[in-house]
Amino acid sequence: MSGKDFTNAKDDALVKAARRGNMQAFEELVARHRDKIFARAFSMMRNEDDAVDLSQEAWVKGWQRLKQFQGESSFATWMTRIVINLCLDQLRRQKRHRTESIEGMDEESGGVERQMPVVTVNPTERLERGELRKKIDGAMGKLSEEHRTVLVLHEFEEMEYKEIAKTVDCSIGTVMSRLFYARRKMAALLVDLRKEK
Amino acid sequence: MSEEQQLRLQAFLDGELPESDAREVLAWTQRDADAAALLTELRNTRAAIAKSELHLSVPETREFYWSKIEREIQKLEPVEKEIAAPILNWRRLLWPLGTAAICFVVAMMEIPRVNIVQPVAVVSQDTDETVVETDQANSDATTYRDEADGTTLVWFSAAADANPISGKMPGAIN
Amino acid sequence: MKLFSATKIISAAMLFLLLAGVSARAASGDLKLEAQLVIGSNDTKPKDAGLKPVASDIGKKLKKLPLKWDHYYVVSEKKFSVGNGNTKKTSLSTQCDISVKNLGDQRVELTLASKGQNVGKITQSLHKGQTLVAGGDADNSIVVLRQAD
Repeated sequence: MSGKDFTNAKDDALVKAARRGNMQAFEELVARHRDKIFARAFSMMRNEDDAVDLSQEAWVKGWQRLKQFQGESSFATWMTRIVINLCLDQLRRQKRHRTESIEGMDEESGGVERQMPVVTVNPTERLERGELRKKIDGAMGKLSEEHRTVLVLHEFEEMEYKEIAKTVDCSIGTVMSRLFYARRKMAALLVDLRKEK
Repeated sequence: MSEEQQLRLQAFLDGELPESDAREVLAWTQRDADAAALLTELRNTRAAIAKSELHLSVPETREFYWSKIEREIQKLEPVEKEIAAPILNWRRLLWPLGTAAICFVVAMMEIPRVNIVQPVAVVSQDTDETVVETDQANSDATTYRDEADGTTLVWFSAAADANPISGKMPGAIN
Repeated sequence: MKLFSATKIISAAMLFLLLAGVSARAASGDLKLEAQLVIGSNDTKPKDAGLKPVASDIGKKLKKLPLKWDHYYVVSEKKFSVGNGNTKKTSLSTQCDISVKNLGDQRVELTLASKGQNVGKITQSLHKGQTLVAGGDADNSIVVLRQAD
């Protein structure tokens, strides 16, 4: 397969070529999926520089592990899992060097979200898609890392509770509590943002 | 509402409950306004988040972003290139040839069952028909197919006047 | 001699891997499906305020069908996987149950049951992008089945 063919080649063919050592094929895969991998890293790290570094590290790891990719999922999904694990490792390292915030302790101890009033209006009604995306992103930035991580893995990666628990290394009960808190907090934040509008 | 009930409601929304539990929760939300309201809030929030991930782009050019990755890869051990093994003594080929023959036979047996992955959103142009069976006596089934859209509608009805299919007959729309 | 032994081992490993691949290929015939219970209405708002309209792509497909309703709302939704040759039963409501059998080659057999009674069975292909809509005389509910994204 020549360089000219790569632009139109399917991911499967590019992976095959990359496995045989073809860097051009791998570069095409990077170009195709870099935005998605970067976006996932950013959604977890909320820092552009960290997201760029971690996404590049993920690509290097992807190259090293190409032979392990058996096509059980799409290549993009496989790469996304790699970057998620790198982000989680980084978050754990950062947490060891940081004290817990008071808000974080409140969230972990539970009970806060149970007292929040139920949001009865749909806060996303009449919002344009682009506006909604920005608001969601802004609200997610206000969550703690633990809550945002669970939300990202469940809502964007569509992982089940069991899979999230395994990925994040916590109990299913913790996953459920964090997800519940995150959703209720998001509902409240979105209503506040709508009121500001 | 207890924390356990709230989490159960959430698990119901996420399809994480066994069927019998899910039925119980559904019945609960149909008789308890607070549960229904909380379920609505969770559902609205989930729907808003799921489809609203921000589309971001890497803030570097393609070449610059790749150059850093390439440098790191080149620091790793080089990938071994395939080297064609020279043909040696025929006895050495006995095992691999025999295995290859067995592999070939097994592969030939498996090929008819290989699933060919269909491209996304392309409606099959094959002659797959829709086969419908009714399980109730004196009932009828009407089938309508929109080939362009890839949609098939099947309606089971016991009485003609209960059929909600409007005046258009199946096949009238191209 | 050493090389000959190594060749034997490699050949045996290849055979093993091929046979493993054969069984893995069978597993890759799993279908990931999404089933929705939807009610049709000519009101712009549903009677149950908790219901939300179907996704716009589904709404467009339903509006093209010769059904008498203009608006569609989701009552419940289930996503599930069905292995090749297996059957998955699930309830979409207290009155509506479905059973989906994966016949392989992206063909499914959908059985509809209402109030515990089987209504009918539909067998057809369900490739990505195709949608199967089924209903019966039980009020204004329909089942929408397709491959999940």
